[in-house]
Amino acid sequence: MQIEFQTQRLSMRFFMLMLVLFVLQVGYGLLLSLQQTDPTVLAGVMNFNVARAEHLNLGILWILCGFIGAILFVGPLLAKREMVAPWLIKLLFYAVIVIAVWNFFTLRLAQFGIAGWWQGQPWLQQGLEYLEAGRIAGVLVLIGFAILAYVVLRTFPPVRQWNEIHWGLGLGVSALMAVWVFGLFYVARLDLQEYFRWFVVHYWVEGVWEVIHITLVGFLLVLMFKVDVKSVGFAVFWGVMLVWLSGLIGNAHHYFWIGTPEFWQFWGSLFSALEPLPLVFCFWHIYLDAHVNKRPLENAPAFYFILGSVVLEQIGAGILGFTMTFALTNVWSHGTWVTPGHAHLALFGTFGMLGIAAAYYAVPLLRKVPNYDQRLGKLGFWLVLTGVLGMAFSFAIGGTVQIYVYRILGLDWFGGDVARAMGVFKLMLPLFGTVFAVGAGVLAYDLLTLGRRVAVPAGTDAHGEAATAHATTRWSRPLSGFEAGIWLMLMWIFGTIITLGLLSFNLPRVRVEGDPTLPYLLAGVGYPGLLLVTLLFVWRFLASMEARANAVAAPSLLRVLPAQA
Amino acid sequence: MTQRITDLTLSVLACVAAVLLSWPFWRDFEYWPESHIAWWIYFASGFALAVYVFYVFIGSLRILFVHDTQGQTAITKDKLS
Repeated sequence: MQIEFQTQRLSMRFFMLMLVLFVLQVGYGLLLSLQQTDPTVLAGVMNFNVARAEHLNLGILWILCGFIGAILFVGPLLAKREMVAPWLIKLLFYAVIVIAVWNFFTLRLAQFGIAGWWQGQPWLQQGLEYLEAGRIAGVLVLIGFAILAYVVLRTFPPVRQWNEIHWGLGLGVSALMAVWVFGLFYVARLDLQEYFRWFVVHYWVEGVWEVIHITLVGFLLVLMFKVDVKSVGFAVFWGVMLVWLSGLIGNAHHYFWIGTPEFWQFWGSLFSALEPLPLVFCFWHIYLDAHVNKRPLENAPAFYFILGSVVLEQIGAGILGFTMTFALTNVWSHGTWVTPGHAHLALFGTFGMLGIAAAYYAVPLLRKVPNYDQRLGKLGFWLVLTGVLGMAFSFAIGGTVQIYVYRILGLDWFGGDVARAMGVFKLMLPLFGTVFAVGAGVLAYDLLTLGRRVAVPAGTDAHGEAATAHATTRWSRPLSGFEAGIWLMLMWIFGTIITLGLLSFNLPRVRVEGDPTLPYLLAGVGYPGLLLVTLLFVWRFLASMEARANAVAAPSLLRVLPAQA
Repeated sequence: MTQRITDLTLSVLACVAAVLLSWPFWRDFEYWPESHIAWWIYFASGFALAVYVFYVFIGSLRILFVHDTQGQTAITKDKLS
């Protein structure tokens, strides 16, 4: 495939900015993990709450850069014409940089208690989790989203000619802007403020980003595997419908403990239980689309990250989200380390990996090196996957200990006893964080320098394999639907064990008598089991896909080394 | 018809499980609203909507697999011809 439209090239700058912000965010993450083990690190210089706010905001910004890059790359293909107003897209790029730099300085003001109050609004920073940036940044972001929506909608053909993918992206970019408005006003009543904060955070992530995610995954599969647009359109339509049918009321799982009426505890639990359904649907959608025509894997890193995105969505958002989404389990897990275990897998896994996948698909085409050396991309994938699964494990088990000592024994967080009880897991966090950071560095280096290094080492194909056909082993045999179903079932069995573990905190034996055996046992089986099955499944899936490339190793060699051929 | 009954039964069973996990009894009705009538309305409408979502999920997933089968058949035909 070659670049058909010049405005597709505008996506490149967003992918590069995404990588820079990603590396910065990982740097803050490492600092946070060090501050968890030793709270005196940079105390007074870069306090934990400030570093955390920078970490969260950069996370949102680089994921958005990935989305924008991907949308700009596929937009002209969907519209079959150049993007309108390229100058606005360039303006958007500089606006994102200004917002990132502005946030870097203003979020630090939290350390000095400065919010920048004027006309009843906090203009510099507001300290609301995920929405820490003040009103000035908020308004700039709104303008940025308006630019994106305008450019995409003006570029697309008339609505009568839209297919499901147009609808997915069209609704996605419009809602991205509309939902953001709920975060742009200050409400003095904290419960009401929280109510609207979750409108932004939840509806953005589970209502809007999810729509963009499903649509982009679908279209990337069309591009990579030449899948039928109609069947992908069906999957996109029902994926989006299921996200909204379950997620719009499922938002109520954030209303459990913020002072809203009690009935939300029943509705929030019930509808949140349905939220994994679109993710299960998306899991099968990628399995079927990747396996239907048995095409060889030409751009392995791009597919690695698409698969990682869908699988971690299933594990992080679907299963770990499910385990803590009931009022009966959330009453224990909320506000503990159990939550970031879910959040890291769901946010980086689902959305971050999609941005990286899109970059790996687009950058080689934009730099005209389709046969690039794919080894660093694969290495980076395995490092970030192992790192993020390890971090999720540290958070989840550390969080289970935290629930027990904090909520059952009633030890005080600030007394230092809770931190000591979680000690081992607090040490594991920077360990796996380092693995992740190395992976992030490898990915950034690979994508930033792609096309400027030797394309493919002599004697190897684009996958970095020796240029001889490999025998398909038992591990790399084709993955049948039945086997994929077994893997999925195993994941959910471990998810059920984790759920039962969190539920067991309600038992009088645990919460009254203080016996932690059952929750510890179930968490000790559930979390490692789930994360190990995830790692093995991704390995198995990719091995089966790689085997296709091996099967066509000879022709691919002809493509890679034309001079020798 | 049999298919619909099977789908509906599966949806009801799944939602019963979800309701059991959400049922306030397990917390000694700590969050039972003051108005029991309102509670039954929440319960009935929530349950009906949840069954519908699950029913839609099963139906759409089945069609996804039907598309796959059709795709496989088309590829096989292409190869044979």
